[in-house]
This record gives sequence, C-alpha cells and structure tokens, in this order.
Amino acid sequence: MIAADDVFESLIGTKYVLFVEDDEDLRELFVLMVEAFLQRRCVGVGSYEELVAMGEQALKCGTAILDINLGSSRRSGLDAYAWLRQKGYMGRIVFLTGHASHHPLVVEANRLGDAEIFTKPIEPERLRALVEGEGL
Amino acid sequence: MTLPRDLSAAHAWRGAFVAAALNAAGMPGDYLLARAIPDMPWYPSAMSSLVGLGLIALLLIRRRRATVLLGSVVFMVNTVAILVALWITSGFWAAAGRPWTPFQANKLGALAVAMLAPGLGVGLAAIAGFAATAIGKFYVLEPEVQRRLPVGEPWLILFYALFGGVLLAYRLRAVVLERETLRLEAEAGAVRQLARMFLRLRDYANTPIQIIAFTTELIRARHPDLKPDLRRLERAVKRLMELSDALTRYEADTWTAGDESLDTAMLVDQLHDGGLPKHSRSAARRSGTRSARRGASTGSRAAS
Repeated sequence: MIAADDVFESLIGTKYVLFVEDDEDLRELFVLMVEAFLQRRCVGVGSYEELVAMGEQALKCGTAILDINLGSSRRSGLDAYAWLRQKGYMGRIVFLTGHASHHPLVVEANRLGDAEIFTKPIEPERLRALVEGEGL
Repeated sequence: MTLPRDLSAAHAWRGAFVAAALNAAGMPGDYLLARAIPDMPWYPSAMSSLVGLGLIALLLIRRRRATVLLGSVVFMVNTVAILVALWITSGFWAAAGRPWTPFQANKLGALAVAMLAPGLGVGLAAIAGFAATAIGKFYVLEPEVQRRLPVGEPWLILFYALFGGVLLAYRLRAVVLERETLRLEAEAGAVRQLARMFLRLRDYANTPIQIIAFTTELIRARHPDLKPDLRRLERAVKRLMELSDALTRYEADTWTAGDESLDTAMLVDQLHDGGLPKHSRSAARRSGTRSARRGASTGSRAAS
C-alpha cells in the first residue's frame, strides 16, 4: 500500500483511484492490479474513519471505488459516499459489493443516482471498466 | 413452529373441554327447570354433571399432552353421560302430563355437536346418538303418552341431526383449510428464511472468489510459465462466478427490513457450530447446509 504522504505529493497530474474496502487481502490485491494492469496509482483505505482521516488526499482522487459493507456495526460505504459528496468530491463514485442487488444497502446505493454499482466477483478483464467507466 | 398435528390436538382438546363444561353446567340447570315435575330423579343430572367435571379435570391434567384421541374419547364419554341422563329424564318430562316440547335437549345436543366435535366420525356418532335416543325413547313411552306429543315427533329430531351433520362437515372442512393455510404459511416462511441464508452465504463467498480471481491474474502476469496450471484455477473461479450469478435470479423479495445489519460472518460461525437460526434449522439440516461451511475460514469477514 502507498503511504499517505507519498500519495499527496504525487497526486498532482496523476489520476488516482481511491479504493475503500475492509478486506485487507482484497484491498492490497486491488491496488496491485490497478497499478500493474492499468498503470494508475491506487490508494487503499480500510474504513470510513481512515477515509475521513485521509481528508483532502482522498478528495483529489479521480475515481472512488467503495465497498458497501465495511464490517458489522461499522460505518458503511454509503457513509463514505455521503462524506465524499459532502466534502465536494466531484469524481466518479463506484460501489463494489458482494451483496445481492435486492439487499437493502444495495437498494439504497441504487437510489443515490450518481453512483454506479458493480457486484463482486468481477472478472479481471472488467477491471478497466470498473476503474475508468469504459464499456459499462 | 406450530405443527398441523399440534393444531388438531389443540382443536380436539378445546372442543372436548367446552362440551364437558356445557354438560357440567347445563345438566344441573336442566334439573332445576324440572324440579316441579313429580318424582323427577336428581341423580341423572348429577351423574352427568359429575362426569363432565371429571372430564374437565382430566383434560386440564393432560393439557400439555393433548392428543386428538384424548379429545375424541373425552367427547364421546361426555356425550354418553348426557344421553343416559336425557334418556331417564325425558321419560319423566313426557309422563308429567304438562305441555312439553319433546327432546329439546337432544335437538340442541345434535347442533352443539356440530360446533364442538373433534372429528367427523366422533361427531356423526354423537349426532346419531342424540337422534337415536330420542326416537328410541319415544317408542318405549306408553301409547297414551306418545299420543299427547306433537305431530311429527319423534322424527323431527332427524332434521336436527341432518342439519347438525351438514354443519359439522362444513365446520371441519373450514378447520382443515385453516390448518392447511397455516402449514403453507409456515413452510413458505421457512423457505424464505433458508433462501435468505443461502444468499447471505453466497454474498459471503463473493469476496474470497474475487481475491482468487485477482490473485490468479497477478500470478499469470508475473509467471507466464504457470499459465496452464492457472487456467484450471481460472475455470474453477469461473464456475463459482456462474453459481453466484445463478443464485442472483432467486434473490427478489428475499431481504427484509433489518437484514442489512446481519453479519454474515456470524451466520457462518453459527452454521459451523450447528447453531442455525431457529426457524430454518430443520430445513437447513435437510438441505445439508451445515456441511457447506466446512473448511472455510471463520476469521474472515462478512460479504462486502
């Protein structure tokens, strides 16, 4: 994972991807995949609290990919979405969820209107579509 | 879950209890009305009432172990006690020489049976008993007494018996339909619960599948020589993805309010320990879901 200070310094002129996911293995893998195959820099964040702590750095990412369920009894990806929008984040927001499309949280995410929803598992070939919104 | 058999037993118990209570309370009342009749004996009403009280006590003692058989036997014993008492007292009523509407208690009994009998066989037998004792009693009365009774007696009781039989059949059919509805509702609830659990497990598996898919891709990029081996892994992942997709078709209307707060990892641990949610326990056991969790990591997290 990339250190927060490095991220901040290299953000200028670089299109970063923000990935909020509480599963550490998937978070690390996603960062590796994005950097290896899409030549993008990716910031992995494990929780809503970490996201808020990251502050401005997170807001400068071009795309935010949010897991919906960030753990039992913890702030969800919907809270992360609300925080980002509240802070004036203008980038693309994508939810990546393992939940069924009729799950109440997913239904709520659907109602947001300006966020896309992808369901896990996605095939590696679809990673570009997920990150860049191509061929959706 | 309340099983249909439990409902039948409860229904039989209730019917028998009310019949015994009506006997215990009604027969002393019958004696009070007849106290002006010369030589009217007290013992038939007292005997019948005591039998009713005894049956009430028996039913209360066996309340938690009620069965349809118990309810049916109690109902029949109660009916026989009433019939014996009516057989004796109706002779005194008829011979009293006063205006008397014959066999009113028998007619009322035939209709009451329709409302209370635990089953068709017992009910029809009881109705036949009320009709037969009235007709039988009529023919053992003195011819002079017979002539004093209204036109159409004792055969009017047959109409009551016919109506009682029809009402009984109609009521029991409604009971069966109600029981069947309850059974279907309970089954549907269990199936919905089971479907929710399967979908949560499916959701739970999606993150690990994603990790395997990405890891496979990374290894393929870093070690091109492993491609043939990785293809097998890739095919396995694809099949798991297909399974996940297939289950998606069944997810409509499966989630209910409050489900979003459920922790799938906790559910998986419950399954591992055999601690299924109460309602789906038996259904899941039949479906073998307990074994589905074997070998999976318990330290992981819920579907994300």
